[in-house]
Amino acid sequence: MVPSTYVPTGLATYLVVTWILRAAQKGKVKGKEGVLFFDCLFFLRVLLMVLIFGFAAGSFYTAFFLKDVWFSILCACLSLGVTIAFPSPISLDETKIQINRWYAPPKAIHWADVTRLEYHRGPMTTVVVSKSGSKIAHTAMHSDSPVFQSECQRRAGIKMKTTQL
Amino acid sequence: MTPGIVAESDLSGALKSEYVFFDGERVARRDLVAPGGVFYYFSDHLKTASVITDSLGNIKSESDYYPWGGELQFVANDSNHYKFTGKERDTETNLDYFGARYYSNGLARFLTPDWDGKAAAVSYAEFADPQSLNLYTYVRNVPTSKVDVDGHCVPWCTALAGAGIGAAINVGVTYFTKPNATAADYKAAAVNGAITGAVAGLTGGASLWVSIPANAAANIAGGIAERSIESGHAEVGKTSDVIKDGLIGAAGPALEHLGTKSVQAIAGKTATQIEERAGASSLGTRHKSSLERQAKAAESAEEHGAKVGAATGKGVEEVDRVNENAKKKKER
Repeated sequence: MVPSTYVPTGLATYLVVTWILRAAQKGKVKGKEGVLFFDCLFFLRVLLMVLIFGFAAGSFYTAFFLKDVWFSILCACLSLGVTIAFPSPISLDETKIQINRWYAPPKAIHWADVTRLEYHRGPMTTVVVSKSGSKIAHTAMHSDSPVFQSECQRRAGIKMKTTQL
Repeated sequence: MTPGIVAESDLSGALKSEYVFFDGERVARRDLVAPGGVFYYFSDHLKTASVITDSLGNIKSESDYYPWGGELQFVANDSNHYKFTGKERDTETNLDYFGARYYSNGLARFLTPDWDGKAAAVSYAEFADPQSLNLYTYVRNVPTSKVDVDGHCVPWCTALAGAGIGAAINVGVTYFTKPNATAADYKAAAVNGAITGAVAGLTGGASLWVSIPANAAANIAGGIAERSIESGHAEVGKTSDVIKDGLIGAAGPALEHLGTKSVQAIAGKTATQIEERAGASSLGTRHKSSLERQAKAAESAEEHGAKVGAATGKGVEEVDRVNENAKKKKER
């Protein structure tokens, strides 16, 4: 058995990740002319950008200087994963909920078409599901989860269903 | 797909077939008229039943479907009429019934335009996607793999972000705690951090009975992965290491729970004290205003009393005067 230099950092990782996600939800919703905007806090946006570009740079460094293909792929996957997870702003108005995605055209669901509201406790994510099956998710990285939930329930006129994960 | 027809009868109401659904997908049929029997449906990702077997596993129907729903039959010894995406196919017109409209798999178009409960010039239009303006199209002309990207990201977004944050933390810790760390050490640390961070992001808000075992398992898995990458071969490590990893992983949610409770208790106590002080102060304020009101009332009563007294005095004088006048009149 080779002596390991492994440092157990699971506790720190858990506490930091959950602290960041909980802190992100303390952001306040912004309102303008009857429209509510749920975005993510500036510090979280900066943190995610640092991770995206940091892992991308790490991917290039490990590929070209260390010649370690697997390490490069790992860094690229982490960069891509954080990029996918980057929260898109959500807006609510009297007729619809809309998400302005950076990677695709905006997606909207009319309140009359909402068939289900789900709250996933583990990832602290609220999902609005339309009758066509399309979904808009308010993640733990978006601001003001309680206001989002109460507004969705009021505007769609349906109760929220809660699941553990 | 919403669950479809669950039973069929003849004109007299006698049941002919019953259907069984699982998660919105037709999985079995029971025929109640001769020759009867139970038949099983095997469907693809679009819920199109390509193969149907009897209860013994013999294939009774086998078909391939073209992207737009056309059928290519290989075995046709079954009466099934639920075809493309599990919708009922009319045997006379060969049209598929989608509930609101009929779809022609030959034309790859619905026979009637899409409609909406609300008045709209073009229902469900998305101006960034011109295909949405054609109300006769089927799933915006992508019949083979129409999926919802956001829908798939729903529970995973926080896990992905957590993986990134966890990997960064572990790489940072390795940088500061191991001056002679190699690329393999950093890689191992990143993998471990990604695993524990992803599970933390996924279960951070869940109950303790979900988050404690999940994070303990994640930390054990992360530890094994890190040791294996460091040593270059699969290495679980000592039993004590594995137990230590499990305990450290379980400690995260437990400590967070305790911390949250303590903060809430302190905040609650402080809030109560503030409330009490506010209450006392408000009592004082109320008492003061009550005294002021009473004083005002007393002043007002005094004034009123004086007025009444004056009026009474005038009244007495008036009575005296009237009585005197009456006495004088009598004397006269």
